[in-house]
Order: sequence, then structure tokens, then C-alpha cells
Amino acid sequence: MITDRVAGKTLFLPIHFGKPGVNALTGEHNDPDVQTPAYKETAVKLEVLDKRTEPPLPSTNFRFGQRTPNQGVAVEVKWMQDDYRLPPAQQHKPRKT
Amino acid sequence: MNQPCTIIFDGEKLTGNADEPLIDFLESKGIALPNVCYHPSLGAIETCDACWVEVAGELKRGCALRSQEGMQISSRHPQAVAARHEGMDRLLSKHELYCTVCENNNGDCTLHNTMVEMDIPIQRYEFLPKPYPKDTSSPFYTYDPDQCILCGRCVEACQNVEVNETLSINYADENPRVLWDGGKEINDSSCVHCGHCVTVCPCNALMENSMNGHTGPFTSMPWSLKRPMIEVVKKIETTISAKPVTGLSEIDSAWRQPGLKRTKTVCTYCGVGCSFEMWTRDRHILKVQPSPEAPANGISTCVKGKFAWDFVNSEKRLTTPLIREQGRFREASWDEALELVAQRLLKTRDTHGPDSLGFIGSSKASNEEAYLTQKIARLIIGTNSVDNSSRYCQNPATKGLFRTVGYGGDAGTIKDIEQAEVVVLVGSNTAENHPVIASRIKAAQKLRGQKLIVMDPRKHEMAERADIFLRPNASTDLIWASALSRYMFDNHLADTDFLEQWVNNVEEYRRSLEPFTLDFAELKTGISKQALIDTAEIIGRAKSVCLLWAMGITQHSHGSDTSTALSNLLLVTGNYGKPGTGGYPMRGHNNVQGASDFGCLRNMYPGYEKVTDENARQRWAKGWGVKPEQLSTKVGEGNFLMVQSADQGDIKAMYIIGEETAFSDANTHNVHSAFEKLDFMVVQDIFLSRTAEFADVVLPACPSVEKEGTFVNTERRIQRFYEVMPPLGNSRPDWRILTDLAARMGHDWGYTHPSQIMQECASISPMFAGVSYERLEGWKSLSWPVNADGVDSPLLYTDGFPTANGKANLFPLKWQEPAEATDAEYDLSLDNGRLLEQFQGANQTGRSQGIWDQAPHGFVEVSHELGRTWYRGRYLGKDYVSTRQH
Repeated sequence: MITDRVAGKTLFLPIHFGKPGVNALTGEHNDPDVQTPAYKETAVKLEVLDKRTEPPLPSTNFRFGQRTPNQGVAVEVKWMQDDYRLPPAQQHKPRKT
Repeated sequence: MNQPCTIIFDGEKLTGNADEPLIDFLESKGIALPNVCYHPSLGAIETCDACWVEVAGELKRGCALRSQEGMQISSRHPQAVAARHEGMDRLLSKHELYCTVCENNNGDCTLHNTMVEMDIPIQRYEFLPKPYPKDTSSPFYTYDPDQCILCGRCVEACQNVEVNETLSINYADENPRVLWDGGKEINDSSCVHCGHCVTVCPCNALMENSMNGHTGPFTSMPWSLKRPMIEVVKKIETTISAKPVTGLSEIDSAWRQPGLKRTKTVCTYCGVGCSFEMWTRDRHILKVQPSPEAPANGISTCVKGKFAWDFVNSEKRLTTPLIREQGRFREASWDEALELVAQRLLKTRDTHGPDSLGFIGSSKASNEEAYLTQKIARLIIGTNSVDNSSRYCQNPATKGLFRTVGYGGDAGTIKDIEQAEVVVLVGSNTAENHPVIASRIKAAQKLRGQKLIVMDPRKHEMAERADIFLRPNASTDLIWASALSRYMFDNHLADTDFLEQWVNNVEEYRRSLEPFTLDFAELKTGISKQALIDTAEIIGRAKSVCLLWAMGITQHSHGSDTSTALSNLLLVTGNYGKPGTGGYPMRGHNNVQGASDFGCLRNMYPGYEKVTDENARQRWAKGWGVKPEQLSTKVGEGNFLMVQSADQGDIKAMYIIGEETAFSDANTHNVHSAFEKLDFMVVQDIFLSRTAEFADVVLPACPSVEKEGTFVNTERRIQRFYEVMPPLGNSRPDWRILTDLAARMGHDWGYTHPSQIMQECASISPMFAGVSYERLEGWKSLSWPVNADGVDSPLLYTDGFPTANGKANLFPLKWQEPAEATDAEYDLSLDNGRLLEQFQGANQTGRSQGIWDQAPHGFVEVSHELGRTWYRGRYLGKDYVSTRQH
């Protein structure tokens, strides 16, 4: 998947998938102090196959959504509506406000 | 603490906290002021108009009103009563009342409860449906606009608690509703299915799909039957008033209670340590309901904790012991399987010596189970070769912390992260790997102006949100961290008072920074000098900095050194021991912290006492009732080396509990060949994992919801979890299996409840001296170290460091080239990590269809630069990447 999440000559592979998965690629070089494998130090080459497959992430995945940031509930907008009456006054369109 | 104040409410004098929302103030006095949209974790939203009171001749909303000395408030004023009824009437015109057939009528429906409290005689406004269908697109929850009262709790939770910023309400529209990404279907939006909105919804407008058809005697009826019933009842209501009908729904709600069970548990995914109540009917999980009282997460969850529990009742669960015979597994009794394991382990010990056995404890199982694992290894077998999956993740961070400040855990709690002036994230995709902690950071940044600095090769969500986002070249983090430390000294930004009072080795360390000039840092890291200076100035001038790091730092050939460099930087700037400061290696599993804390480490007893320390050995031997000579002083092997030793034939038998080593350890090929060489291998798990496929005996264990125990989260917080449902089939809790096994090896410890195991550990280990199940009851928790009197340590180092002279140590470092780098042929760097939706080898998440719907396939992320050069199309599937052979 082409994405701006990674840059330059860095690839990213999720660890969850495949048999045997990403650790078919990792090596046994490790931190000499604690013997933690250097999973994130893996040099690879990439071959591009001609085969086209379905998109690996469905177009509905949250990563393709467009967030709508706001400061939370804009209750002032509700109060500004013509048909909003401050209780206990009754109103015409209770469904709306 | 708030000042006390006295108010007069309906003629009664009440003393409580000043400046508290009136609703909370009254609740603390046992008085319920009707309200619907108010939620203590969300604050006053002021939309429901159901909480009016009269103050000095004016009507005020009780949620927005804050207690003040001398305030005179009336809830009985006729205008206030009328206003509250009017507010409720308006809500009911938006919400169709069919409580008796409603999945949400379980005693915790805020709207229902408030309506009953207010004793509404008849609805003034007719219910009018909204012109929108139900949104059933999400596999996890449903939005029903016709039930939605437009209170906005969900919007508030999404925008300002979770801060995924998906939800909004269009009050200006002719027909307002909750919107996802401004008007998309839920599943087609940026919604991460974290469940915040569903958790806080005060009615059934947002509801877990897992509730459907399961909660009450009438709810499983199809809508073709429910609908005519609802219509009939509504007609009757207009003649006999709503009260008898409300009464009926009250009876229904009470009727449901005996079959409904609510059990507090702790999540078994990442290390945040979310706790919540799991609602069940028999074995069916109705919903996961977090609570403001939960110490780590409050009302927060992520998609996994809220929705990915199908694994518990999966048909693939192991429910009976298996023994390999002529290459194939056959079912066996517990007696036969445990007897075989006991005999083979003892025989291996007697034939090849104690160090020919290796144990891997589980980062998913409880502290008590980790404790028993190491006790069997150390006391019965006589080896220190016992480890856990922190070897694959945060051991380098722990090493860095041991070298500098002394405790192998987060310096403070999530509250400190929230209140820091600056948060630095290094090699941590927090929003996907520790989603709830990410939410706290996002909220602090959005609502309170916290500064966020992200250093990462990947532009993940936190990077997109960062005030400063820098992409250092791979394996150069030690350089920029050290260059920043040097900059602090050179530019009077080092905290000299702090260094003088609390830190050893300052001058030697300062000299070691000689090579780390900004020029050198720019050359190696690829980050411009100016960007480094800007970053240094923000960190150096901040009053409080929390630095969080994860696998992007530790999973390198010099991860311990880089972790040390990060901790050094925090020391230089005085960022330890004060609220809002410290180093936080984010723990990746629910109990990877606890597995280490409780002794599944090759060199430490529980509570981080070295096996080479004679005093510790004496004390543990005494506590366990054995001679000290029985406990080995030889440091054992960690899981990574155990596997290598197995390959070389030095380790003959392994016992692996709840770990997917065959998938998670590096270089799978060699791991598999090592497992094939073992004389004897036991795997204790809830599924027939890839690792279990190599085993000679497979023992079916229980997930956390089928047993009791405690976990330690990334904050060092010990939390209890309770049995939600009994063990499935013939599976057994790990602590029972291990206790039984020990007895069969001649050590009958007699534990009948995990609390006894914790009690034993607390009586020997100073770090856990004051830990007991009583002190951990319900939502209560303790962050270690815990004194004998029960006083715990949410924030470490407030009065010194656990070293010989009570001071921290600055630790000089040299930068070293990574062990593996790109070359002409293998010219790309492979970064790797988790996705929000899945977890590890998908043994748990993989049992949820909804999770697969969200993240069904593996893929390779490729940059635009590479994509342009290399590839014409859009997608690269799996099996396209290869490395040099190791």
C-alpha cells in the first residue's frame, strides 16, 4: 500500500498476519545487554509482482475516514434555534430541540 | 482537594466540596437530582434540560451550577419542576418508549431511570420518528436515530475523551442526528470502534450488537412481533396514563436481573490496564462496560477491550489435555497428562541437570501464575532459566532504567502523562498500541495545550497531531537524545540544582557527550540542527516532561543503550520525581510488567532481587521452606537464548505458557528447528497455537475471565480481576495446573485460591510487602513498591532513587552502528509493528469476525517515493518482501 505513513526507503509490515509472518524476515542479531532481538533492524529487498489483488485494507477502514474535529457539543447552536424555548415554556418542534 | 462549603438545598443545610457540579454535590449526599446528559467523566453538556433548579429567582441547570458557600437552591420550586418535566417531555418526543422489549432495560438505562424518578404521568409530545434508518454498518454497535435524544454525550466522549473526532450533532438541521465524519455510515467513517460513545449513551440509541436478543425475556422476539405490541401499548397508554406501563418495564428490568451478571475484570490486550465490568448472561458476553472509577482508563476502551472477546467462547478453545503419540495429538485426562509432564521434567533434570530445562511464563496470565512458574523452575527444577516475553520488547528499557534511576517500570502514572507540560513519544505508535493512553495525550493537547513531540520513522496518528514531528534515520535515536543532553549543558538548560542534589556521575557523563555535537547529530540522524535546537528548547524550558518510548527504541541491537540515553536526557533536565515527569516504557501486554515483576526473569526473584544476591537467596529459601543451596545462583537463560540453546542441544525440555514463541521470536525458521530438537515440550495455552503444534503435551488453560488473579499494567498498577464465567469444558486456570503439577513433582503447596499465592509473595518480597487481595478489592489498585502498611507509589523517586547513595546515575554511552544495515541488494529498511485492530499473532482478535472485517489482510506500506520509482499500481499484498538469509 502506497502511503505517506512511511518515507523514503523504509517499509512497514504489520506483525499480525501470515504464516510464518514477519519473523520469516527478521534475524538473530540482538542487543548484547539483554538479548532482545533487533526486530526493527531488518534490511530487505522488495520485488513487485504483476499480480493485482484486492486492496488489503477495505475502503471502509477507519484510516481512510475524514475526521471532523470540533470542541465538543455545540449546545449554543441548539439554544440559538428559532424553535428553542427555554423550559418550562413549551415548544412546537420538541423533536428537534 | 476542594474546599468545603455549605449550601441550602430544599431548605436543608448540606456540606460538601466547593466548586463541584451540583449533581455530583447532591449525589455525594445521597440526593438524586434528575439528569440525563450529565456524566461525571464528560462534564456539563447542558442539552437535556432535565435538571433545572431555582437559585435566587432564576432557573439554572444543575449540571452547570457549581457549589458555592451559602448558595440557596430549590428543586421544588414549581417553575423548576415544570422546567424539568418540559425537558423530559422533549426527550421523550425523540425517543420511543418500549422499555419492556428494549435490550437496554437492564437497570442501567439513564433515561429510563430518570423518567421513573420524575414520575411522568403522560407524554406531552407525541413521539415522532426521525427520517433516518438505523445505522447497522458497524460489526460492533448500532445507532438508532429514532431512539436518540440528541444529548451529545457520545459527541463529547468522541471529541474530548477518546479524541478520535468522528462524531458531531447538527443542531441547526431540520432533523438533527448524530453524524459520523459529518454524514457517513459508521463503518465507512474514521470511527475506530473504541466504544466510548456506546459506553456513555444514556439510552439504547447507541448499543453493542452483542446485546441483541440476549438481555431480557422479551428482547429476543423479532421486530415483526415487537412492533405490533409496542403500538398496542402506546394506545393503551393514552387512556390509562404511562405509569402502569412504566411499572411493567420496571418489573421486566427486575425480572432480568437474576440472569444478568456484572463482573469486574481487567483487559488482556495491551499494557494500559483498562478495567471494566463485563455483563454476561450465562456464557454470553452482553457488553463490556467501563466505569469512571476504573483507575487506569475511566470510561475509556479501545476496539479490542470493548469488542474483541469472541475468543473466550471460540469453538477452537482447547478444552482437554492433549498428548502427542506417534506424531499426532490424542486427548488425555488431566491425571495422565500432568503425571507425564511431572515425570518427564524430573527425568530431564535428573539426567541432564537443571539447566537443561527452560520455562517461559506468560505475559497474558496473572502475577500469581508468573510467580508459580518461576517457583517451579527455581525451587523444584533448580534453574533460573525462566523468562517472559518482555525479552522481546521492553527488557532494554528496563536495563536503561536500572542503569540510571533504579526501578524497571514507568516513573509515574497516566495522570502524570496527562498533566505534563510536554510529552515526547519516541518509537511508539501510541494511538494504535496503547490507544487509551494516546487518548489522554490527545485530550491534554487539545483541551489544555500540552505540547507533543514525536520522534518516529512513521507518520502515525500521534505524529500527525504532534507540535513537532521528526523522522530520525533508523537506529540513530541515541545520537539525538545525547545531542539534546549536551545542548542542555551547553545552553544552561540542564537542571543543575536537581543534578547536584540527586544525580551521580554528572561530570563524567558530561565529558562523554563530547562527540554528540549538533553537527554530528544532524549528519547521522538526518534531522536539521534547527529542528534539534527547537526540540531541545521546548524540552529544556518545560516545567515537566514525560518521555514515552516503545518497540521503536528497544527492538534494536543497542536498544538498552538508547533507552539509557533517553533516561539520561530526563535526568539532565530534572524530569524525575515530580508530578508530570519521568520515563515511561510503554508495556505491550496486559501483564508483561507483572510477569517480570513476579520473577519470570533469568536473573531476578520476584520484586527484582538478583539471584546472585546472597541475602535475597537466603530470604527466598526461607520463605519457601528450603535450604538456600537448593536455589541456583547461576543466572539462567532468557527465552531468546533458550531457543538457541535448544537448537544446540543444551536445553532438552521447555515449558511454554501462553506465549506464541513460534511466531513471535525472531527468525522463525531457527525457532521451529530448535523446537523440533527438544526431547520434551509442554505448551499450556487456550488455543492450539503455532507453538503448541510442536509440543509433546498440550495443557488447556483458561483466559482471565474464567479465573481470579491480578495483573500489573504499564503504570506498575496491580489490579484484581474476578471470575466472569466458569472454565470452558475441561480447561483449568493456569495457577491450578501449576499447583497440581508441583504437587506431582513432590511439592504440595496446597493453594486453593490465588490470594494465597499473592500473600506468600508479599510475605517474602519487600517490593510487594503491603499487597493483599483485600487492598485490591473492586476498583482498588496499588502501584508498586507497596509498603507493608499498604502505602503505594504512583509516582516514583519523589524522595530519592533506590541506589546505594539514594541518587540516580548518569550513564555514559557511545553510539554504535546497528548490527544490520541496508546494502546494495537489501536496500530497504523493514519497520514493523501492530495495527490497532489486531493483536500479536491474532490468536485472540482472530476469533472476532468484526475484527477481520476491519483488518482482514497483511500488507506492506511503501512510501510515495518508492512507489513512484517501483510500482505503477496502488497495492502490494503479502509475500512480496524477502531478506538475506540469516
